[in-house]
Amino acid sequence: MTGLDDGRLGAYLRDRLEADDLTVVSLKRNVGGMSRQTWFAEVSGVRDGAEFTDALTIRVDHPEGSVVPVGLEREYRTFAALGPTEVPVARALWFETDESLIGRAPFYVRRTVPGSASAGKLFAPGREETRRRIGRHLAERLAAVHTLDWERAGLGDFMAVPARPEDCALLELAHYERAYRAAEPEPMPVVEALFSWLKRNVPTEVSRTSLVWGDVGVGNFIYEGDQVVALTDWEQAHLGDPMKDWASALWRGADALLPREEMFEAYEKAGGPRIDEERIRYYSVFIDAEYICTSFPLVSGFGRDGVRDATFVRLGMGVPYMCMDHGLRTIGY
Amino acid sequence: MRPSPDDLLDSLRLSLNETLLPHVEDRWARYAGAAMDLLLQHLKLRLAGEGDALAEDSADMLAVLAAIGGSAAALGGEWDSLAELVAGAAGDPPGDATARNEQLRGVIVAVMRWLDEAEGADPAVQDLRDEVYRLVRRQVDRTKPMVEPLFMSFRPVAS
Repeated sequence: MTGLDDGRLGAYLRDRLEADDLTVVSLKRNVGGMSRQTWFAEVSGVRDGAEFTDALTIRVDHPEGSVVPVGLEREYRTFAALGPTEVPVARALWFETDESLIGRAPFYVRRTVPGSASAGKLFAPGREETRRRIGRHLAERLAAVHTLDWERAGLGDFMAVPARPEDCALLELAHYERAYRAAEPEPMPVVEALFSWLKRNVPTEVSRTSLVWGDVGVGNFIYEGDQVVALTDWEQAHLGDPMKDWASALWRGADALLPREEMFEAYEKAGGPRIDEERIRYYSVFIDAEYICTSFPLVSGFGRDGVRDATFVRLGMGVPYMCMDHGLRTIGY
Repeated sequence: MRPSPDDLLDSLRLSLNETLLPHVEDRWARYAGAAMDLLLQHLKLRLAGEGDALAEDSADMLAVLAAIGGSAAALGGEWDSLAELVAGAAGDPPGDATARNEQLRGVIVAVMRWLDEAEGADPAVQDLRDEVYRLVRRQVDRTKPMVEPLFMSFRPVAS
């Protein structure tokens, strides 16, 4: 089964939410993010004689597995750890491992944050000033992520803590390279070239070890009005160099919201660490390599027992080949 | 046999885009349909260009490996192991062009790893690495026209 059965889900949520009666009013799969399946469920029901409604987000791996080499439970723990902090995220509700409940497992449920993640709406004509304000607010939110006391938030309990400045990049690189090699891809000199360059040019000075969001860009945060109200897509979060998030933001075109210099200014004014363009360039190549490591294995596993869906094949070819070209150009070839 | 594979791919794209997709309301199904269309575009380019690209790519790799082998042999000493590694690429090629290309790419990867391990040993490392990286750029440029329709921009666009 690739979808979710709304009847079965409704019965499960009725029990889990301790409702006397519950109906799934709508159940929609998110179009866009591909690392895992995201389902939006709107429910209404009766509890203790009173009517209620709720909006829930269900995250579950694809039947073929996760696109990112990061366990779903770690993603859930990240949301749960960030809940009480100044970093705005959806409230994590619970994590389930029992497949008999809705026919898929593991999965977790979080409360849907009202607002929109749509790039299309944000970039509609006439919204220039809103985009500028959101760009500034995103930079301020990023400063909050990077100055978070991650030890106090408990993130060091389940995220690798870099011992040396070099480890900010090398620990993550080793993780993604392992995932890439585990898929036994066809020999790709360009990928080896990027891995080699990243190891030979690793930053040896880092201003601070921060929580790194990991996948920053329009579409990965919820906005309402001109405010960024929640940060989403934490599956690639780790402890490391905050400049990686700026590389990610710029790689994904966040400077279409607000010119990069103005974003940097807002970030530093909000207390974010000093911007280092050279490290941002390094991490831009890193992100190319990271996307290759997450997407290219999809087509290595192509076949009867692996990935066959056209959306995965497009992802598994389109993203890595694009990143190979981009990464190579960034290192001067 | 007619229609040609090219004509058949055009026919599939036409029916997908003009008959099927306009009637699909489910957003995920439309997304999957769009991915199918892009794969058909890629397939068309690949059918037309992959054979020549593979032959050109394999010839390019053989030429670069021969040059690296020559340089390594001239340097001697610890470079002899690199010369031996490269010499292995010449023998016993598989008949299939794709398999041969993959075999040669495997040798290029082994050369890159050798150079990484020899880092700092000799300034020649940087020269040879530069030659390999320039080859890699040509390889990417050869593949790019066939895969470009599948590229997936993450930059925001208006709907």
